[in-house]
Amino acid sequence: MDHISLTPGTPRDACLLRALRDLFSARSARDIRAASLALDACRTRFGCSRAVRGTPPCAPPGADSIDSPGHWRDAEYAFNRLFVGPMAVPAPPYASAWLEREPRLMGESTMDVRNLYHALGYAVPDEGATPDDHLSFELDAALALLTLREAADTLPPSSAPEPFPPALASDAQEAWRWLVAEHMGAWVPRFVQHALAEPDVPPAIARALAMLLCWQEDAAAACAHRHTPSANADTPTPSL
Amino acid sequence: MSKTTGPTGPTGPTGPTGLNGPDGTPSRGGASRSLSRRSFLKGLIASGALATLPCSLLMPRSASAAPFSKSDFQIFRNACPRNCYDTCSIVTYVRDGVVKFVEGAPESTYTAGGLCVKGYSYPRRVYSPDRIKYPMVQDGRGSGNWRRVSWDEAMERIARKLLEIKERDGNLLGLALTKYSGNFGITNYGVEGMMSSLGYTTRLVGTPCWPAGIDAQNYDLGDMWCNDPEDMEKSRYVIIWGANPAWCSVHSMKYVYAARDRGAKIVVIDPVLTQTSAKGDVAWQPETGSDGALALGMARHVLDLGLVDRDFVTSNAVGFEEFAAYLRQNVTVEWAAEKSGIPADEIRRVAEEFATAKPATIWIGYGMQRHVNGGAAVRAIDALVAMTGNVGKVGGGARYGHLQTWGFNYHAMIQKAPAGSTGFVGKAGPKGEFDVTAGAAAAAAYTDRALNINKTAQELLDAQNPPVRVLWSSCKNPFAQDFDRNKLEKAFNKLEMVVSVEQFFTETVRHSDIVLPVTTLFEEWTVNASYWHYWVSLNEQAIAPMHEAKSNIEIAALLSKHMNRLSPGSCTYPQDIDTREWMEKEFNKGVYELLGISHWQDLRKGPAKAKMPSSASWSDRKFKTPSGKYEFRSDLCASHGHKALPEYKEGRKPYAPYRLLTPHSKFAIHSQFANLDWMEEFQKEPFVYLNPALAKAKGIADLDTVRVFNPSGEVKLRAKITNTVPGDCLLMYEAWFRKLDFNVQNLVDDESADMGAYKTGAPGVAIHDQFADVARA
Ligand code: SF4
Repeated sequence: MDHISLTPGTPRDACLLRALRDLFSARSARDIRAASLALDACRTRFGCSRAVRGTPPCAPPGADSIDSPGHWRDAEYAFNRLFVGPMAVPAPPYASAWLEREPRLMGESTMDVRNLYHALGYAVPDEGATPDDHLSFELDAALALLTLREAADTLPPSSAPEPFPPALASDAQEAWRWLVAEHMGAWVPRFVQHALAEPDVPPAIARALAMLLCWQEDAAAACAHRHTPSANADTPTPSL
Repeated sequence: MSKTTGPTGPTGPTGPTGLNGPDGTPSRGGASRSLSRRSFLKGLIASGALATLPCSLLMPRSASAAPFSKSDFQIFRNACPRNCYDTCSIVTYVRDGVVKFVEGAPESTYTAGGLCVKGYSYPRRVYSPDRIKYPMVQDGRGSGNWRRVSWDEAMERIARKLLEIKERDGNLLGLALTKYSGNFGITNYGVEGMMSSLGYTTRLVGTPCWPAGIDAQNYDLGDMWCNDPEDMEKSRYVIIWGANPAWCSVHSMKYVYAARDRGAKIVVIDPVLTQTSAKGDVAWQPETGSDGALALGMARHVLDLGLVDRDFVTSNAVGFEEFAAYLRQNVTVEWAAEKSGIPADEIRRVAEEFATAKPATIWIGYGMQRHVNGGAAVRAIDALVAMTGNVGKVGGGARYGHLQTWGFNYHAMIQKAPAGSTGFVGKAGPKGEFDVTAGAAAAAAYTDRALNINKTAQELLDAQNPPVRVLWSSCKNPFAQDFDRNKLEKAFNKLEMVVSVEQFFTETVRHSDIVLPVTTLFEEWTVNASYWHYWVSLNEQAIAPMHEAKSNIEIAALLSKHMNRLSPGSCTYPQDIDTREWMEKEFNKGVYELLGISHWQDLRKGPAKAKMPSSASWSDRKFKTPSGKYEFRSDLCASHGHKALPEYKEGRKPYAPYRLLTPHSKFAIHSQFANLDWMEEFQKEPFVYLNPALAKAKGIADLDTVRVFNPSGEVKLRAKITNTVPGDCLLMYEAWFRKLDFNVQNLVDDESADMGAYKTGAPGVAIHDQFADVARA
């Protein structure tokens, strides 16, 4: 098993995932505001991963400068128009809506992530009523796998105490790769593109969508890098 | 920012194969299929060290979190609750708590293992990404600015408003209910129960669909009671008059075919050449609304030929001689031919064949009575069937509909007003054909205030002391179904609060302040009966209600909780209910005996059919009319302001050059189903269908965009040119398209049909007595 040193990407990822998860599970203007501010804080603290690498930033710099209740209320209306309803939403935040032969909820791809949650010992609240593949649950699961991967990685395989099984690190890495690269990679970019193509996407939501896409692409690229046998160990791991 | 994705965007067309994501690009779903075989899952499970994961939304899973078996299919009994002749018994296959597919129940000889194209699409409905998922509040009606709220918040808002208007007006007549046939599951009458439990309220009463015919049959026979459709195969002659079962009652067609296989002739009468016409031996396309004249012309010929069933008309009927005199004095076959456009010789031939074939039957469709003379026409057809001795006969009958299997307890519906409630003082009639409380209401000091559902817009505008302030809409989509859409918009502007209980974002939801997500048939317990066949089906809850959907009775219970919290005693509705228990409470000894079952649980094995003395209605010839006989002359009818005899009544005078017909499509029932992707594959957009001669006169080419307009309003859509529509008609199917702004009610006014007030509380609507003009857009 490769030994991977903990990169500064992990806290950045955790910070981003938490804020994105909270944003996409928002129920109110207040939730959207809090998650947006948290997302801005991640950015301030860690910088934009793209900008750090010298590529164009994933979203324009600077936080949403207006901070009035009306501003966030408008963001809430737009958020509901895009993702929640009651009207038919242009960008349903469910994997199944994008991955099934025909768009629907509770398809086979929903069961895939349900199986993953179960393997982690988790389930969505009201399983059966709540689609398991809502973006916010998938981000929550990614956060869990990130932590698990980190925990496994920091322990040299030989010193892994019970109950950590010897293959945990590789299982966690493989689960992470499946979730963020394979599964989310198949729908999140399309989801983001569609949401961004809608008229009047407020800046806070446009930024979150862009950061989500950056995160997903970078995480998938990092997975691909780890999987390339010829990768030079001296090459720095792409920053997450 | 503008949309840059072009035609593959989510509002653009999806490919014909349907193998696309919401963005129209081919899905890559196959990539993730093998997850369950991935070894990392086993490794993660084995690790047992996952307790400290930082999940905040996901919850530690307990064994009970997954309520359904994960291995095999679970099989549930359901029933299609739509306003459809067929009320299919459904078998639902569930895996992992998800409805995988549905099929028709094989136990019902009527459903016979198959559904219609709409029924098969049910999984698309439950799991549609478009479904309304949460209670939501709109800040500014029509603004599109919606906020998600909790159920408690939504109900508290409504409860506060109701208490406020009760305080202001001294009663709750400012609260109105509009509900009709969106979900016929018996427990859904709990919505009416919710209203009663709050006090005396305003009800939009009546029924848009079939009331003129109901009254007509009640005058003639004493009830609306049709033969078992399954005995149609024993008919020697079948006339399908103003119905299109090849589209709208597909399960009945097998009996029509069986009759023909046994030598029966099939005659289809419809102004439009329908799929059913195409399958008949004779297809008549009479002038729209001339049905009464046609039936009377046939009756006159039967009389002239001496083919009247003397025994029936003398022993089992009253008024036949007066009817015969009317025919001799006022009706000739030539007159009927002139009125209807059907050649006199053909009328004579079919009349004679009908009178000599034994048994012979007429299926009276709902389309032919949606006229200002619709009730009179049904009476004329009833008379034709009766005088030829076909009433009370197996394989015979004037088939319209029945409510024989609807003898439930209506436990959910019958609720008491809170002590001290005041309401409307005045005459109380029935609140629709299913109103079992009609008798009791008449005796009370106060009643609900009845407004005519078929004139919803005008009635909402006119209601005073108090005006209607709050409108609750459930099992109904007023903007798609109520007449004169432009007027309705004005009426809605007057309302202080609109609550709609819905599954999809209809035009009515757009005009609401609060929307509440309601369960589909798979998410609640109930029981369903048909107004056509004689099977009764249990409807089991097959899956957990998706998202935050609640059933109508659960919504009522929650409202009651909030009403009582804010003002103890203000609502009598039980506050904790279990939909399965409430389904059980609908059963009684009478229902069990009728169905030949000892317990409702027996219905889990499959639907049950009513054990009737005969497949023929009125087989004992004891009629429920005042005379106890078939009434060719109905004094009751005369006392209600109509003719005592089934005389000819003139149709509505045209007010625009062409007749406008807005019948049902094969891919929708009113505004339901048309919004589902599978239906959109077949029916992406509305068309107006017109005859080549009319198209030529107007310079309209196939697929041109045209304007159809009349004094009520206009619609813009593309034209299709077809010989199936007569030269003086414009035809467009009623439907609701999720992506298009199309509404036939822009063009349909609220002119009343002649009958309906007697049995349903308000006359029907002359839906097919509408006129319009057309021009290239
Ligand atoms: S719409 Fe009618 S025919 Fe179709 S499944 Fe429902 S009841 Fe059966």
